[in-house]
Amino acid sequence: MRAYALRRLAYLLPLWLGLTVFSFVLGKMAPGDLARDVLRRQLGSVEPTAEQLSAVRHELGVDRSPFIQYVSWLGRAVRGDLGTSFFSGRSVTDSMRDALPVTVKLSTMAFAMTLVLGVPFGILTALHRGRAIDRGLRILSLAGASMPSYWKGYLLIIVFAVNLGWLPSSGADSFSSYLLPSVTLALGSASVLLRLTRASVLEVLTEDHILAARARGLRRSRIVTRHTLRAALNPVVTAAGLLIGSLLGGAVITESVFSMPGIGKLVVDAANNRDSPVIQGCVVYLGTIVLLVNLGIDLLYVSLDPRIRLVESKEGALGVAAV
Amino acid sequence: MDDAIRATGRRNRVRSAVLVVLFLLASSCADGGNGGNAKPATAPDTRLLRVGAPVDTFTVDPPNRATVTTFGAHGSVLETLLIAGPDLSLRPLLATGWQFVPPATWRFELRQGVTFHNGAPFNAEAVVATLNGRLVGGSVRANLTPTSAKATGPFTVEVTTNPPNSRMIYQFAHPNTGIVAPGTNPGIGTSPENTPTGTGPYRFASYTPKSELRVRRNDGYWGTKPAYEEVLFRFMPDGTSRVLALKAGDVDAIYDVPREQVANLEKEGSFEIVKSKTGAVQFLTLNMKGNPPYDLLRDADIRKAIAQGVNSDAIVRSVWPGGAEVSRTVLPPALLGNAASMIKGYAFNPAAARAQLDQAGWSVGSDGVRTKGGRRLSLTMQVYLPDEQRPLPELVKDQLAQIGIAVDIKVPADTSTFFDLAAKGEGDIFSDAASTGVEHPLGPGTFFPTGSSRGFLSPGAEYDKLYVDAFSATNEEEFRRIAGQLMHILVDEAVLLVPIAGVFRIYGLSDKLEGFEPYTFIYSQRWHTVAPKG
Repeated sequence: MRAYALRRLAYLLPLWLGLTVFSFVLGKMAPGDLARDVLRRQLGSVEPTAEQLSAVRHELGVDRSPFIQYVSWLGRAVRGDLGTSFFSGRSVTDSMRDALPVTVKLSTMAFAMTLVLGVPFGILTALHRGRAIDRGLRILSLAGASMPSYWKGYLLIIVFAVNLGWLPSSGADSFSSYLLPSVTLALGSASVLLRLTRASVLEVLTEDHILAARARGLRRSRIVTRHTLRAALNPVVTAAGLLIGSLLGGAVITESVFSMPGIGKLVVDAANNRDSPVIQGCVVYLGTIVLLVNLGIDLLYVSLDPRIRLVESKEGALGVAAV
Repeated sequence: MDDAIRATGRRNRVRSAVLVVLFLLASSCADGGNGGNAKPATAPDTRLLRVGAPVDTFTVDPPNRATVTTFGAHGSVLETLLIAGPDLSLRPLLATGWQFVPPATWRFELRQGVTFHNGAPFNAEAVVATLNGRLVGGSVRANLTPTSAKATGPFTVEVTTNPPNSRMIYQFAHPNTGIVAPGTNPGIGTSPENTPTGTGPYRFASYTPKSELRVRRNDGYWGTKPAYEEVLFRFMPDGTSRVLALKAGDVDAIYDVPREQVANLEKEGSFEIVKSKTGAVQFLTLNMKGNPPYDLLRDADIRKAIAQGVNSDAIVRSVWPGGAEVSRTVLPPALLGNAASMIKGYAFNPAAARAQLDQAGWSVGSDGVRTKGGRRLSLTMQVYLPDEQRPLPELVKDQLAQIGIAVDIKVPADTSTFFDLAAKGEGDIFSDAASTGVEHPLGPGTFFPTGSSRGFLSPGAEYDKLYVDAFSATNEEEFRRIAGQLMHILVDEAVLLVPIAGVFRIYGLSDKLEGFEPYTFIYSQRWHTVAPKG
């Protein structure tokens, strides 16, 4: 297990480097002239001269070869310097540092709500398959998954902030201001997790070892907790892991509706302003999150499900496989 | 038996819970949208005025030199020499008088008895330090150099530029030209040196990027003392969110009420809708010098037909009901004064448009689109601000279809792409918009002189000369006359521009406030005159 974990960590480095190359190349492929964009903000509709364009390109460092630009950026990035925003003039690291706490808090709360709502209710619907509670919760989950985020957000604001006055309508300056946006995010993801959990539990409940457990006279609660859940949780863990990645990447619409200055909003503003240092920094950040989360999921698989063992292939690579 | 009883009991409990939840939802949603149960705005806290602002526009202009846009706009921390009032007339602010001294010098008399927030005296030297320092090469482009300004007395400054700049007094009304205390630079306030330090009715307190700006009353202010001790500007880019925050009582006033929410907010009864004069102009730019395949509008007959085929009145009523007026120019009429009568525009007359095209040899095909010499009269329209202009492009497309012109609407990925396409002339029609801040009355973005990014559209050398002459105008009347002439050429003679609507800036306020004056330019809006009623 330790060797597997170390080997996976070692794979992270080339993957991460590949990610940085990918984001850098994508940035270079974007249409438009960055120097012209910068000068447009200074000069408005006055056409810049060739000298002005050349000077700005030199100032931005884009007159060097792409390889040199990449290496230079990489060297700074590993030291924590992701460059300077063309638009705000602030360091990308500072901009992300300001935005990250908002996103982390929002993601954490939304994720917790998703687990609390999605998994238990998913199990409940599976255990009461075909009954009213199953039908009702599945209809609600369909609604939750179908409604667009902005609509859910506005509805929650109208009910809980405008009409009832219980919670603030916007901002990120208090615990209560995170409740409505967290619920907005959780409603969609919990709906998906509920259905996934239900399907997974139902599948496990049809397996022979469950029948055997029933035949042995075990109590229902024991069958569910000891013999069903661990086997049913693999796909749920995968989905939850992917969810963490997407949440930490920022929820643009929710952040806009609730005026929360998180990572999602930062990325969208940067894209609209063609602020490539910020875009690149955010892409690397998001990619790193996904890589780490995937690693965590893989390691969690092994500890959760004893049926999955580490196996050695003929080439000596260490991998996982169902036994 | 017991199991059946227990099952029945569970079912009853579930049913009750569902009914309670439905009841709560129904009661809380009742009157949610139509004028009844919105929480009335609480009595404004006299210590704190909360304003929902649309965007945090803090930026660097040029890199490593902060602008004052955020701080000047949201709280009047920095003040300018002049200010454009709600009626777009220039008013004294830190300058009490100004005079043009031919051939190229502006003389400003400065207000006395003013101090900066850090206690430093406001005087000619401080103004010279700003004009010759941070404003050189800045976005305002007043042709300033490090030696343009000089103090000719303790409260007199002369500014000389080469070439002459008759627009200077307008440009010095832009918040980006705010006067700062010597030795300071309006950054984000993490140190005394980068704390915005001006002379305004409010002083900088704190700033969280993209989140909020807080300013505190300047008790030593030279003018009307603000009623509120503090003003908190919360940056809320989403228009509906701003409206909901106002209804929830989380803010006391908001900028830019979305046009579709105005009627709803008015019906609430606890809020006031205040409209400025024209804050932005929506217009079409016709590419009269395009290269194939965008060369159809080189034909003046087609351009005139378009001008006659667009029903601006119908567009204004449909897109901005109560929020705009038909415009014949892309400059605010208040800025042109009497010269506004020089611009006639083209009245909506589809019959005349069809006749124009018929005479030019464009015959209607079986699909309703005109053709000539085997070529269809099909134009490409690039759209600048799709969200704000919707559904203007679709309406224009429909109206032009009535006279046999097909329009293909394209929405570029972002505004930078739009301007790139416009600069290259990759399109026939550009659905444009321009802010009407008085500080750029001859902005090259709407006059297209040779040398601007769309200078290829210039009507010619005479037009360019007239544009240059405008900068040498020695008085406002002469300036207005030349500006009127330029606009007449663009709209009436060359038919390069088809103005459609002058859009008002719409503010939403709690009905517990008074003293608010709406400015057309978001960055000029002042809040220190606002006070609680009674």
